[in-house]
Amino acid sequence: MSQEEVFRNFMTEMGDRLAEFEQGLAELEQNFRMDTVHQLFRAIHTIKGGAGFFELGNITRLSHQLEDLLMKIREEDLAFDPAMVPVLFEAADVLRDMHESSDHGKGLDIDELCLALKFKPGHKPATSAPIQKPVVKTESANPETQPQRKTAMDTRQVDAQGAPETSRAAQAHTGRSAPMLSAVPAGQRPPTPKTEVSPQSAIESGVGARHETIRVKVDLLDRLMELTGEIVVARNQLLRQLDDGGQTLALSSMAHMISDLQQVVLQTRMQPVGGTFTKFNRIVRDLSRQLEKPIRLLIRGDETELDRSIIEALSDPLTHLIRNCADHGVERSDARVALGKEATATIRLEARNEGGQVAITVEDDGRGIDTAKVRAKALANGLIHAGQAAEMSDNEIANLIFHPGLSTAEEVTDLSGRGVGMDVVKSTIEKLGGVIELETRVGSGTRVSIYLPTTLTIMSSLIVRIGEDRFAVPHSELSEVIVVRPGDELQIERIREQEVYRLRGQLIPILTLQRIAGNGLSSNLQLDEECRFLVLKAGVTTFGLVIDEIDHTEEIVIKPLPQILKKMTFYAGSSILGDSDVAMVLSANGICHSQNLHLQDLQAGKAAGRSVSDLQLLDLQEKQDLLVFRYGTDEQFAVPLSLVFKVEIIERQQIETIANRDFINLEGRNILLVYLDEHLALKPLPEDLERLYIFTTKINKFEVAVVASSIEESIHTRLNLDSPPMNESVVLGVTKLHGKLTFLLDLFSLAEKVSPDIFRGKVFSETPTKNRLLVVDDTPFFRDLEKKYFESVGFQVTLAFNGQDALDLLTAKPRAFDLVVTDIVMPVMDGYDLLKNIRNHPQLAHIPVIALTSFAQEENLDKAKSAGFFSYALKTNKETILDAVSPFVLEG
Amino acid sequence: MLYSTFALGRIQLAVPIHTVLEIVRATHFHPVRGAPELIDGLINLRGKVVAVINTGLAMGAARVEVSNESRIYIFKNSKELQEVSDEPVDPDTSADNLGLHVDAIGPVIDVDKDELQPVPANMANPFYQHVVRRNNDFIIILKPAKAVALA
Repeated sequence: MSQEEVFRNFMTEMGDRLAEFEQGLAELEQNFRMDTVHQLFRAIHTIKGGAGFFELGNITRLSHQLEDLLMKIREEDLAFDPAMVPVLFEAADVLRDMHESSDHGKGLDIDELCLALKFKPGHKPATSAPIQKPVVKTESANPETQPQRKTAMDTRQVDAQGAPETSRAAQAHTGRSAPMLSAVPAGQRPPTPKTEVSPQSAIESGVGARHETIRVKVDLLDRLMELTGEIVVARNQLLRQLDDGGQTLALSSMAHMISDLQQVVLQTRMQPVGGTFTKFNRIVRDLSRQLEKPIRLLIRGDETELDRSIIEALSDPLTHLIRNCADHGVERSDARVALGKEATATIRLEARNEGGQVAITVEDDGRGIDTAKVRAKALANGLIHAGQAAEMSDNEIANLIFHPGLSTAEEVTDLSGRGVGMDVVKSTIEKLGGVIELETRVGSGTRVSIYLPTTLTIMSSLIVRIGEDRFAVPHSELSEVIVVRPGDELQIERIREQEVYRLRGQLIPILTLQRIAGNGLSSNLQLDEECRFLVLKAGVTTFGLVIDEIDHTEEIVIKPLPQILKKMTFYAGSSILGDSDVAMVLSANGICHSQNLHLQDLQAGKAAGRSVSDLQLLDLQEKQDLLVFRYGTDEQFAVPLSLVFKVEIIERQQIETIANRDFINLEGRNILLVYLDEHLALKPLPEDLERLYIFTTKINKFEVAVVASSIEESIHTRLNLDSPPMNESVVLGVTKLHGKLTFLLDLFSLAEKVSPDIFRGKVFSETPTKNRLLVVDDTPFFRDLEKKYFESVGFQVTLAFNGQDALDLLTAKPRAFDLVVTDIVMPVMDGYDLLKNIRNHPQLAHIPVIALTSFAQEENLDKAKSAGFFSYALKTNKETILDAVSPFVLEG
Repeated sequence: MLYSTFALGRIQLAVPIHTVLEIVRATHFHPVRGAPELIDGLINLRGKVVAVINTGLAMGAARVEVSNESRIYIFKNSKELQEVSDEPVDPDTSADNLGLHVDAIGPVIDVDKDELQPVPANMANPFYQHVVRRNNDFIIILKPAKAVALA
């Protein structure tokens, strides 16, 4: 090994020890522990030794002073005083500068610093004579070898006087304040904590136990990873081949060992992010001092592990984000106090594992992003047009700052806005296969979240078949698999050319590979056929991907895409499956970006300013159970199954005629028969039709039987009624069932027509006094039906098409309504939310609310009651509706 | 300098032999949905995934079809090329191996530097580097590094 190499090794070592030293100091600042002092001592001792060997004069001298001081504290010849901390940090900074400068601090004047480090007992820590920071000579150095950390040094020429008021404010927060050079006023010596080393604390040394480590060339580790990957694939291939012959048992122990090997090798590249995070302590301290804003940094999750190359790449973006927080986010302390916030701002840096991804967040409690300004700037720059500006939520607008060419920083300060913009941060993160998002609240602060894949290459994946090809989807991006069959409750719907699915309340877009890969061709997804899709997650965005079938699960090595295909960002890479076939690996992140699915919240309710017609497109009709029957060969009819009592087959000869009316005798009762051709323009049933079907219904406790020529089926379906109900007619509307025009009958009207005396709809003995009704339903057909019912018994009905609309009407005129009757399932605001809002509104809380729904199960009734609805009725059953309403309206 | 020649329809093409890693038979491509037409697909070369360009389509000629005679030229990537070359390699050279699907393989020829002629103006194409005359035939020398730019 050459002299050069030895020296280089020492430099690296010194860098590590310095980092340890700085970390130890940060701990010491918060909490004195003798253990930490030992650690600091060891670190400095190593530096001193090596520096001495290489005759680096000033480094040796400074480290000697530090070592001396630490030894005295260790031996308890000198009591530790928190006032020492700033000076120690000072010294560490200077050491670092010397470490980095090309002449290693040779010409530096460190006399004053060394003097200050002596801390003679009784020696007043510098107050009146603030330490002049030695100017580190960099001009003399070779311009090419300018140390990278120029910025840290730029901030060095700070007026040591500092800002007195912030210093005092800082003092109020013991141990957490940005250390000021004009330190503790004389005489204020906090009681020196005696060495309180209890047996326990001696064992757990604060700054992470010294790991047994060994230096290994990165190239070797990379090669190791590669080979391990290949072994995994080869093992898979072998297992497949043997599987056919049933001989896998012989290989099983080796197969397991290979899995273990893989895990361990993966870990060699994993490092805790804490290593990168510690330097931010110092950065924040420097920023705090330079900007004269007290800021503290809270770090959490520094033991979270990430692949080392990702960690390295994160350093710059995180630095930029933290600088942004300090520079733009955090207000001056007086402004903060005026707002009722703590004078010291907090920046939170957190890393945590979240299901196959690592989430890193940088959060501040500052002023948040001025979304109005961003909106205006984006408009001015042509980034968005007026329509978008109105529709986008605050968070969506805030995320625009990642767009190149959108800088709203008024002055380009020295720290940020230097052209290393948020767009670079974003592209760096994306290059690592990650996602970056931002949330902000004006006045409260901003949070930037970064989601990164934990490993780069070997992933457990689901192999699926789409069309003729197979694709791999890493498990870490896969949330669930959903199969939608034609009879299901929830179906895939289409809104404005985009298929969506309601997944536990959240609307997610459903994509097809054709659309993703085929240059934006619209998909040919058939909505009523069986459909299988994967639910994928990229950061906070969720979407569905249609597949044909699931093949199997496999651990695959993701090979990066050949350069020639790099543009296809929706592929994460390619992989070779166990059977030697090649499968493309899909990337959820990539798909999101290629389809521009960012924080779009498709839930129609959250978007402001959507037009009414759009909302009606999202008509979420509940499903109805219908009985479908025919009268004659052509006409098809349907009635709500809930109203059907019995279905029977009768022979024509069983019919008895009494006083011009036909009856049928069932179980000893005479039931009136109803022929539809007597009430609608229909052909009578053929005379020779011997066998007839009837279904009976009970209205007002009287049973009546409707005659049909055949019963087709009972069907659970959505009602998409086309024409509005015609007044005075027994037909509620027309729909298509299985492609055939079907008339929906209103049995109540039919019964009334048949026998007005018996079946007169429930009529209140007098016109209800409290009769101003607000009827809320998103389905036009039901709105009109309910209006008809209520008006027929004397109510004044106002209609609303969803909860929000209803609430608007109510709050505009709180005294205008006596009762609200509402559907439950509605877009924008559903029945439960409407109820909640009414109850919480002081002027509306007295208004009773009744729920209308299509389902008749008991549990729904209980749920409605416990939510606070007064009662609950079935939509298609006029009787129950009126029953529910009557208690209110008859009181005087 | 030795060149390996191959045919594209009736056109004769050649590449420097040291840029070629190997030549394999074209049996089965794995299609890449959404990729440009001129990419035949991916092949599994003993664990390496190689993208293969259909030379015919790439040069605006007839598509190269899989046949008994058709072959895939696998070119060395920049690392492999650097290992065998004393001079710095063309910076355009792909970082990964690229394949070229051709109609048929031809003989290896030895060409002197002074036989290399510039490409006539009416045939200019970034892929073409030189032309050589042999037995009254024109052989076009290709620059494999430029292949990546085709996509």
